[in-house]
Amino acid sequence: MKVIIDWGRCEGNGACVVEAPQIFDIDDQDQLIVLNETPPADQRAALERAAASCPRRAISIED
Amino acid sequence: MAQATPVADGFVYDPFSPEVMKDPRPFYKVLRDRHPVYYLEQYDAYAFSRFADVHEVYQNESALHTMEGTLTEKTAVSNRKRGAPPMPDYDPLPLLGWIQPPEYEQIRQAMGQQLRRNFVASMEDDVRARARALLDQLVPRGSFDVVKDFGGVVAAGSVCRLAGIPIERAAETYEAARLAGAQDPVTGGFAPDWLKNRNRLLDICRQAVCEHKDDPSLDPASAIAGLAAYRLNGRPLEVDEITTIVSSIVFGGAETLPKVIGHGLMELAAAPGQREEVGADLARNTPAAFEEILRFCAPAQWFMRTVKTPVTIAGQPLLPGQRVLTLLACANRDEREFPEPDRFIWNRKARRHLAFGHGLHSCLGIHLAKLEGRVMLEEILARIPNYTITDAVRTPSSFQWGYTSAILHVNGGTA
Repeated sequence: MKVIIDWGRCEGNGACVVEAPQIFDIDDQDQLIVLNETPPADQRAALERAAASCPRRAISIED
Repeated sequence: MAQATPVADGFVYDPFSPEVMKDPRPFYKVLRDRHPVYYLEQYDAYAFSRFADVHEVYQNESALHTMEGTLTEKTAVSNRKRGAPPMPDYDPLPLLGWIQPPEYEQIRQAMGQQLRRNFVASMEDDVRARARALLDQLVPRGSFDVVKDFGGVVAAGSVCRLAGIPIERAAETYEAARLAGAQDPVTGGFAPDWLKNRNRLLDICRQAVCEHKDDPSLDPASAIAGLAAYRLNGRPLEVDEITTIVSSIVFGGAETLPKVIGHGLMELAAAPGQREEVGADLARNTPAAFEEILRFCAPAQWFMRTVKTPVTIAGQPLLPGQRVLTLLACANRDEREFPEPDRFIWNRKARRHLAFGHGLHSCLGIHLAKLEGRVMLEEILARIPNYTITDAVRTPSSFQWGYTSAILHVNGGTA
């Protein structure tokens, strides 16, 4: 499973960091950091919650 | 008045009818329960009222499009169209709601750097200082208009900072934004002097754009600097184009939040037990209280999409050229999403709500709105814990239905 970010769209809102802190972080310049682009299967539920919580719909999951 | 479409049981909903603009809530309850997919023949539009369905509309960006804009008034949707309408052209740029990706996303990035989370957090001291200074003036009067004289001035002051407008112009900026957004309570069209105030707002923004756009000391993260550096398919934006985009930030920031904060304070005054609970630990409780205020009070009633390619939503097949209305304020009271939705519960901690929309056109000012809402709540409740509110005026509107005036009494109305 792979994390796909629409970088033209992400505005560093940080909703994903709340849902999946093992996968996402935000730096102090408000830029998203993907800590793990290919998270293990046991983080799927957290990743799905992160994608659903993104106010801009900037996160998708590729299998 | 155009005829609205009756349905089998005699129920009629038209977002532009005077009854709905005056108070849509009884209509919303019927829509959610009995007509979750409601067809308005006169606009060739389907209204979706349940939370899950509104959410589903926002997942279908390619089929449910914004080529006719996201906001509309009655005359604009009274022409039925067959087939998807043409894409807007960009010479000059239309209003933000009409601009399509990728240019729309590029412009959001260019203007929005100072609306991001950490930058907004750095504004807290300034917002609080302005709120306190204003209360220093207002509280000794004994009573004041908490929407116009407090919320409006604080909120407009923040967007003045972001748009390079002198802070002394906050009150007139708020007034111009409020009147530019006003609708005629009977026809649902623009209010008679909306254009005068729209131009007044544009003049305020244009002066700031002209003054700052070539200033080398301007913060490159500011909206004006970002837009001045932006190239639209290779060309720089004209002053009027930058002005129009800046005015959308100013309008969005100045016009909406005062209605939300005024209404939220009224809900807390109507539930003194809840107000006391919030007040017991303001720093800790105001973020949750303001989230519930957003769900309960956000004034945006609905936005529009136009069908570009055939799609089915909530079982309803939609054809190119037809329109979709997403009833956000209605969805935020959906029993299927929120238990006891018509009760204000400050610590509800709902998992999600639609006060800021979702997806492509979700509110760019989300962090600023939350910061200002929280700070204003803290400052009012700390200074005036037993206020009362009277003379609340909720101006009829098909779009931004909220309180435009409400008198707060400092000593429980006994002063």
